[in-house]
Amino acid sequence: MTDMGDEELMLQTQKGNVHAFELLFERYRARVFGFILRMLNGKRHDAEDLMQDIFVKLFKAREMYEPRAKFSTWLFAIVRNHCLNFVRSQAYLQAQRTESLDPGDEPAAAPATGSGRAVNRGSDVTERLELAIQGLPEMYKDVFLLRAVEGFSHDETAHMLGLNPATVRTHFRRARLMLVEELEGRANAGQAVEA
Amino acid sequence: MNCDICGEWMDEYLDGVLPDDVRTELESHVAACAGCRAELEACRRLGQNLKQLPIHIPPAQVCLRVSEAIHAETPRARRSDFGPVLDLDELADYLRVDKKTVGQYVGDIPCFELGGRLLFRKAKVEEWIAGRETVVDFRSDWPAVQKWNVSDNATKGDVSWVLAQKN
Repeated sequence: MTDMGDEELMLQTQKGNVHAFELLFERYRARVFGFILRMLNGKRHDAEDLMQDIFVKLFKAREMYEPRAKFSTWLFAIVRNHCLNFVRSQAYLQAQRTESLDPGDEPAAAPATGSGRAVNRGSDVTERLELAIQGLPEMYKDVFLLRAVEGFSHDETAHMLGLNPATVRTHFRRARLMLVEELEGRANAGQAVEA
Repeated sequence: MNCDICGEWMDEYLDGVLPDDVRTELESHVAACAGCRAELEACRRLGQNLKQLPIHIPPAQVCLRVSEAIHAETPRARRSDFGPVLDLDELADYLRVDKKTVGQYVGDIPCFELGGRLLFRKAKVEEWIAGRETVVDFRSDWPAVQKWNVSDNATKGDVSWVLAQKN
């Protein structure tokens, strides 16, 4: 079963094969967790809870999956929607406000791995890049993460976000220019980001 | 090609997925435009940095919780092999009803308590069943009968099996 494609595994899941879904979870857990963590600005506890919530909901909604759709785009579209709902939720906003008053709480952004420590701790650029991505405006961040970090095409990203591919290209370029400016300064960012 | 379009196609240029004609046009523009040349180089450097981003592995306890939750969502197959003593779950499987239904008959079905658990002797349960058995007259004008379809895989004891014998 391990050599089956994602879509075939999802069909097996629809037939009640729990092991097939566990294989899908194994394949995507790191990518999905990284995506959630970045969408939630490095909040690990929230990311862990949301990760569990999303995969259980995915399993419950397995009948909704249409075999014509690429599994990864279906998965990330759902993950992204859950993340957005979460960060827009009243509970999350309230926690953000409380945290801003109490800086001793969980750090707002911390590149971390499963062991709770950062990989490439010595890489200042990598840490700054993580923080810069987290600081992008919401729509630019979605586009950038899906396109540049997760490797989806512009068309796939557009499909997941319900946007025109041309809009995705524009958002992606602006996100990229913002990141370069953040990392290297305006002088090296090429052209200025147009408002 | 202008600078905006050039900038929007740069990542696909670096991925090597642009059609030949667009790639040629972009290269011509970049050769003539210092701003776009700088942007292309910055785009290339950013791409290199992105490859260095850490992979975030979720903690093992999260994976375990997901696995447990998924299994809890999965309907459990009914057991068919039973020992002489049944617990509540096994009794529900034995009687082919859910646990809630069994709960309604606790006190009626002979049982005993051991270690804080209700247990049932299979032989006593069978006696209890025998005491409740009656001959059901499946008359054709009985409304409930109209709803039953005799399936090919009906097993002895199912109402559909009884109907099949009568037909």
